[in-house]
Amino acid sequence: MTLETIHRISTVDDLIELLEIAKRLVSETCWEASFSYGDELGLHFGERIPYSHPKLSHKSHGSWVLDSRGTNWQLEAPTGILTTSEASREAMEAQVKKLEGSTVIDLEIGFPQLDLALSFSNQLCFRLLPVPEDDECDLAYWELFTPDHYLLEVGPQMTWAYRSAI
Amino acid sequence: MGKKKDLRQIDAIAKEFGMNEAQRREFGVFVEEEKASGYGGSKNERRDFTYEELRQKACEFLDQN
Repeated sequence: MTLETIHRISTVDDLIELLEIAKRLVSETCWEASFSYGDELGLHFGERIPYSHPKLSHKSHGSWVLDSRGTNWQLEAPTGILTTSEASREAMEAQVKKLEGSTVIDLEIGFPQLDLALSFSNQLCFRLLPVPEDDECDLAYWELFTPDHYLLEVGPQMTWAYRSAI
Repeated sequence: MGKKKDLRQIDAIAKEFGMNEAQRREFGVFVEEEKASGYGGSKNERRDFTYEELRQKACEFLDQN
């Protein structure tokens, strides 16, 4: 693991470098929306890369992966909210699968909440919605693994970091 | 907040066992797959894992990797 630089966010201008990294996800197509331990939602984009563990040989991850890190999220359609992170696993799975095959057409990060909004080509919008209580836990609001083996972590509090994932 | 506590346990154990971030992520997928395959834990009726059970899973994960 390399030494990381933790960037503090004081003004909206402090989001510029963060947005430059995150917006590389625009134009990528989501091919899988799935859950891991702790009901963590992962959205997979880009190249399909097999997991290295033998017991996971039937599964792949994306060269890009967006993880929810246990933060509240909701999936919106033009007609309203389709599901949220408070729903049952079955209900969440049924709705987030609608993102598969759809392309990210815009990405926005809110200030000062550091919420994330991904707009998709099928008119759905996926939002990660940090709340103040999330700062009680030393865990990012959301994270993005990139094809160059880096990890972008946003939060907790007004911070972000970009460091090697390997 | 319960979900974040589960993830904090994964992160803490990943750190204890010297996993990098990519391995930490894969470990979370691995333990979920263990649950789905009938090898879940004893923490609750969802077959989540206790901290000690997760440490054991980390050993299995790294031994076979």
